[in-house]
Amino acid sequence: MSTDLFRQTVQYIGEYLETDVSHLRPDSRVAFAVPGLDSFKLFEMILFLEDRFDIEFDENVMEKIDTMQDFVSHIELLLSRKTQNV
Amino acid sequence: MSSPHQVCITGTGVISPLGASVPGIWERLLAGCSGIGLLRRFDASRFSCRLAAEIADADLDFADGPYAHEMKRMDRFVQYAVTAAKDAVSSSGLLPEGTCPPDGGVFIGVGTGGLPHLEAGVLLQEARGPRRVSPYLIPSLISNMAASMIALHYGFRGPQYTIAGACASGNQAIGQAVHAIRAGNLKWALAGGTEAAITPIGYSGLQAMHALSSSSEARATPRPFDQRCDGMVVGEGAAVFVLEERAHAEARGATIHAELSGYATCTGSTQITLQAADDLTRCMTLTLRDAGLDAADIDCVYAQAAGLVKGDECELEALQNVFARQAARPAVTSIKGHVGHTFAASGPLNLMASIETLRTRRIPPTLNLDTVAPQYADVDVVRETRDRDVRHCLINSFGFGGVNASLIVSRSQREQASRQSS
Repeated sequence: MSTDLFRQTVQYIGEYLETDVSHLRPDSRVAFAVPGLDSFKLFEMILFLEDRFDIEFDENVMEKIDTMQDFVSHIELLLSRKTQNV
Repeated sequence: MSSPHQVCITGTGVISPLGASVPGIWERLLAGCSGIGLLRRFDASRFSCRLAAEIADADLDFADGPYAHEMKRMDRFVQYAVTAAKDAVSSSGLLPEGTCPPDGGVFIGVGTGGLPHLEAGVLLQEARGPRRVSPYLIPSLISNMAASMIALHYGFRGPQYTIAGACASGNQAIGQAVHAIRAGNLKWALAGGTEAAITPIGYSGLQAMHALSSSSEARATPRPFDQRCDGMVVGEGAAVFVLEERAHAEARGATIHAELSGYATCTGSTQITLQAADDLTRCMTLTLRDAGLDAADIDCVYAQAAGLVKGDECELEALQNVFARQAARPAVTSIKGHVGHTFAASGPLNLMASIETLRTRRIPPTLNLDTVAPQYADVDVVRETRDRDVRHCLINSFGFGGVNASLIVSRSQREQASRQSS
């Protein structure tokens, strides 16, 4: 997992929630570590990250994601697929 | 109506094209200022009407407190209602130290609801597919969210109601709150109306109805009650009031600004969107009866008149029916030339102005009025700011679907007594 990509993801999450989420670490559990992240915020945050990274998550992506490391690794995978498709 | 529970107004909050403070708006109404200008929210070049009375984003105040994240995602009609409600609550002193008294309710009139978000959601869905639509889309646009977000923001646990009666929604919402307090079911309520319909699909629909003015002169449009009127200009806004049972207000030492003494609503029109003078007459007459007043007691009328050719004429005919036999006729005014037609917020904005008229004894002018049709010469339409001692104001609002609703607001008993003794 790229450290830069992790940092970038945390920055975008903070931007979406308009709050400081710099406490997030790779082993932070997304559903619990992000303050006030209810299901609507999570779904809309996914859309926000899709726009920021120009990627498209699978429909049920969050069912497979537990930690921030899972999340960022998945983003990394989607970005690499995008690069290969170009 | 005879009730042991008289209803008074102890707080007012407004957001309008003329600003978001009651003193500022009132000063501009009296000065004949207009909040109408070239439409800026979207490219209106393809529409016959390119004017609107828009609210400045800087006047919005909804972001702090609970549900701040959700409030930012609400359509503007919700944000306007919450902005107005916050001023109403703070000016009333109803909730000291963030407390939440029991027995209150919220009644908000909404006309078109979240039309802008609905339109944007449809366009997004067609451009990028259904999965790109925000989970907040539906909660942001359903009509009840104005009342709901007010109630949730303050943590109110009483009833909340949304009244959908087109342009009469706001008057109906206030009237229903009056009924609830008179019946002894509530001690206080937040009541008012909100509207934000400046969106391309709204303009398309209104243009198809030939309801919009085609004038490009912002300072001369619309022309309420004028023989040359050619349609409305769309405005937006919200006004919310704290209504209280008199004894409740007096017990906590609240300042009573006015009393809501009459309300009636009825159905009747000649077409689905066109009022009938007989039904407007009946609505005003029923309101007078509800207040226990005669036509001669009304000193001022805040009219619906929006600059619509047939609608304005119907109202003139109805006003003539109700008041022409009186020796002292009421002064009739319309503020649509100042703020456009704000649909569900129209009656509540008129109520705000009426309270100021009772307080200051001044009546703002009907802007852009040259000539009233000669057959209605008996109706005393205010053309210049007028000084007049006003005891009771009648407020009209009439909506598509034959929804008619009028209110009467009166000087408070204490104020009345003090003026009589002086």
